[in-house]
Amino acid sequence: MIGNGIGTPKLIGDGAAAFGYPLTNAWIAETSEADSTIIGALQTLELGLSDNGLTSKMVALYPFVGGNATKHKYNFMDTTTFELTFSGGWTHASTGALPNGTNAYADTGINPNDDLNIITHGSYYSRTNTQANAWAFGCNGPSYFYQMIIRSTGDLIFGRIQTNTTYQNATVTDSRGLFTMSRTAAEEVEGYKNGTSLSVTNNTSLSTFKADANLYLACRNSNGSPVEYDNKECAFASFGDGLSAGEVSTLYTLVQAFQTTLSRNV
Amino acid sequence: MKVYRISEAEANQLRGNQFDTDSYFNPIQDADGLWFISEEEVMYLKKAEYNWIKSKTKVDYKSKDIGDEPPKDGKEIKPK
Repeated sequence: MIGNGIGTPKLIGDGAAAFGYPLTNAWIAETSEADSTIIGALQTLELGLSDNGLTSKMVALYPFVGGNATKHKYNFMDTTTFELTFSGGWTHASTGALPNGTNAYADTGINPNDDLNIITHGSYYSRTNTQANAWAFGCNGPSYFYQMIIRSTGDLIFGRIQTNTTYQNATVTDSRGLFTMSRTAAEEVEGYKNGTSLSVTNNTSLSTFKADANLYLACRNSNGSPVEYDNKECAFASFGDGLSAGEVSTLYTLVQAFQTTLSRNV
Repeated sequence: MKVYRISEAEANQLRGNQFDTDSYFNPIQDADGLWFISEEEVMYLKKAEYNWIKSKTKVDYKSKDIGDEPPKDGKEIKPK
C-alpha cells in the first residue's frame, strides 16, 4: 500500500484484494448499488478511514448516496445496526437528503447513553446555507444533551455533547460544509468547520452523564418528541468516539474528497 | 410554505405508516393547533390507500415550532 488513503485509492497489486472493502461490499449487498462512481467513492472513503485509524472510532456513518430513502438509511459501518428511520417531508436525491424544516427528521436508533461514550463526536455535512435555531442532530433525555445547531439566527454554532452544563458556541456565517462537535475529555470539547477548530466558548464544559434518548437528525428529540426542525441538506453524518483535532481534519479531507468525487462538494 | 390540512383523526390514521418505502408520515400541529402533513409527504406518496390526502386543502404553514437561540453566555437551560 502507498499513500495515506486520501483521494484515489492507493492500494496496489494484491493490496486491493487483501483489503477487500468489506464495508463497501456489505453496503452494496444491502442496496444493490451499481453506480461505479458511488462505489469508487465509498471504497476510497473506506480505505481512508482504515488507513487513518478512524474505522474503529465510528459507531455510525451515513454517506447519503444512492438517491432514495432506502439507500440513505444504511449505516455504512454496519448495515445491520442504526438504520435511519425517515419521517415527514424529506427530499432524497443524488446530492443527499434534504429535510423540509417543518416536520422532517430521521431517528438514528442511536441512544448516546447506551451506544456512545462520553468521549464522542458527531458530524454533519450540510449543503445548505440557512440560519435557523434548529438542530442538525440532537436529543435530550432526561436532562442531558447531545446536540448541535450549525448556524443560528444570530450566526452562531451551538453544541452540547453529553452534558447538561453550558453550550459551546462560535461564529458561523455560512452553514455549508462539514460541522463537527468532538469531546475528547470530560472537560474538553471543541467545534469544527471543515476540519478547522472554531475555538468555541465554554470548551471546558464538564460531562459526567450521557443523554438518554434516541438521537435524531434534522431536529432534536426532546424526551421522545421531535422539536425544532432543521432544513439543511445532509450529505454525510457520523457519530462515534471523540476525535482529536488532527483526526477531525483528516475526516474532513476524506469527506470532502468523497463529496468531490460525487460532484456535490460545497 | 404550503402544507396539507388534515383532521386529528386523519393524523392518527397516518401516523406510523409509510407514504413511500422507508418513509413515514409525520403529522404535526401548527401554531393554531391544527393538524397538517407536508407537501413532500403528498408529492412523494406511493401508497394508493392514502391517495385521499391529495384532495386535502393546501394552506399556508403557520409555524409553531420556532426555537429561541440558545443563550450565548452559556447559562444552562432546561430541556423542553
